[in-house]
Amino acid sequence: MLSTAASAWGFSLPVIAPVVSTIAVMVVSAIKVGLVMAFFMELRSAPLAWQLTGTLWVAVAASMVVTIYLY
Amino acid sequence: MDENTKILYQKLSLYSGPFFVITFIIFWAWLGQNLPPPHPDWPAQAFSDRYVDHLTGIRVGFLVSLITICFYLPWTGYVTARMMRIETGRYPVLSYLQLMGGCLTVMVVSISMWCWVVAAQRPERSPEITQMLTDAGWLMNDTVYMCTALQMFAMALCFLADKKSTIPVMPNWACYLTIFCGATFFPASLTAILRDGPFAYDGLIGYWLPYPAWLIWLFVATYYLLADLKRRARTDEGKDIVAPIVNQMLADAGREK
Amino acid sequence: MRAHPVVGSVLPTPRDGRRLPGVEGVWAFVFADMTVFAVMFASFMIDRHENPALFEASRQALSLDFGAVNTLILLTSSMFVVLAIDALKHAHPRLAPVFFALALTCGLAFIVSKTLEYMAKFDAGISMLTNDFFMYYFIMTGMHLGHVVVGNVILAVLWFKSRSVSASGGNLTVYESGATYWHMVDLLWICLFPLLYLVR
Repeated sequence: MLSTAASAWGFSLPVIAPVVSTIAVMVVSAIKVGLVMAFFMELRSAPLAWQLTGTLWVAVAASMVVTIYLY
Repeated sequence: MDENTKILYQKLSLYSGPFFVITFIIFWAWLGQNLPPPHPDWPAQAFSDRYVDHLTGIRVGFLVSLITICFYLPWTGYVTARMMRIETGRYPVLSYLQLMGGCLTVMVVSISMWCWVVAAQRPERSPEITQMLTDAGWLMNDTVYMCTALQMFAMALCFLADKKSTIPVMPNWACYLTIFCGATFFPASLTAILRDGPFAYDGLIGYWLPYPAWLIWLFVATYYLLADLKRRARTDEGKDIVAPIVNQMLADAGREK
Repeated sequence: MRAHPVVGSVLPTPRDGRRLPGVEGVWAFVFADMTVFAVMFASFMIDRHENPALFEASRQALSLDFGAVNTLILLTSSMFVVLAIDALKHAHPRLAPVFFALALTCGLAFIVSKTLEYMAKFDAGISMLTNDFFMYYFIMTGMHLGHVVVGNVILAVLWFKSRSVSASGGNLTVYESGATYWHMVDLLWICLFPLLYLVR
């Protein structure tokens, strides 16, 4: 549990530093969102349908933002 | 009134909900030219032209909607009665809140259509006035939503706390969906400030989210309430439920002495 | 980290061992809410695409420090909620109110920090009507702040409730539902922060 929290904290740190590229920030954010869902919200051990819904949300939201950004 | 007649009126009350939704979509949204709604940033003349070009549709649409919106009342009445069976006792506050919210919703939506009916009465009047009446109608709907939101919250909270029904009136997710649909109204307050973009009264968050949410909620709620009504009619409610209620009332009376 | 077995809980565990924390309805609510936010993210990106120079110039007026501190506050708060639930699950219910109180403190700190940030913007003459970027900025963070306020009320309720919980752990559903909502609030900020403060 603590390790999860620590890893989420760790992920938040590079975001504070000046960003090298927007994409990297978005990818890091998506990973962070995924971590919060999987461990904090315990979707990791939830029924598959809910787990997939969570993953789908992250995938769709992140790819949408990146696509519009790059377009 | 015999049991069958009672059940008939209860069914009619419930069916008046979807009847309202369907007429609302046809007359308010389609004939009333609210699909899509006017753009708040248009010049005044464009508002006038809109009424002149679609005068008959707008007049018929809103005049009919002003009548059919009142079919929201019997539906609200049934929901209140159903909630009182769950919220037994002398202080059914959630049921009353739902009742008041439903009644006021009819008034709010009616006043907004009344503004548009007034605008359509003399389409040749000064465009600024037509524009103002159109704006006033939209802002009536979009800023006075809290009555409806409270109606939905009260209903959801009551059905969530239901300990009496063996099968819940609405499933857990539908209750939370009700709360969510009510919550989608809040950003509509921004329509009073922003005239362009997603938060304006023709925008994604100002129009396309809250209005469908309200209508979809009504459909979902009616679906489950109807199923519940059929269950009640089948199990012959009189035998199962009246006895415990009479016992409860006797117990209450005893306690008060 | 391993998935914890549910100890001291009265919740039924399905045969395959997979279990959704809290009640299903909360999850339906959470995903519906997150979808609305996702639509706003897309809308923001599309409008940004039409005027990147304006959005970039406006973004630079935002305070990165405030944004980053807010991120840390919410993540910490979320972590305290995880610890509180964990305490309840492992039959240390006396620790739970402490963690809930800490989480609530973080939640309140977020509101204070956001208020300060808004006041600094208003002092600088920036409002929702300044331009499209600030419209999104104020509305998206404002809606999120609304969620935080509701979340704080929920945390306060959980705090009071957890003070009278027995050593057996009791029914966790209410706690898990509240926690799920609070994690969503955290999660949405994790999305909002890079979108508004960092994308360039």
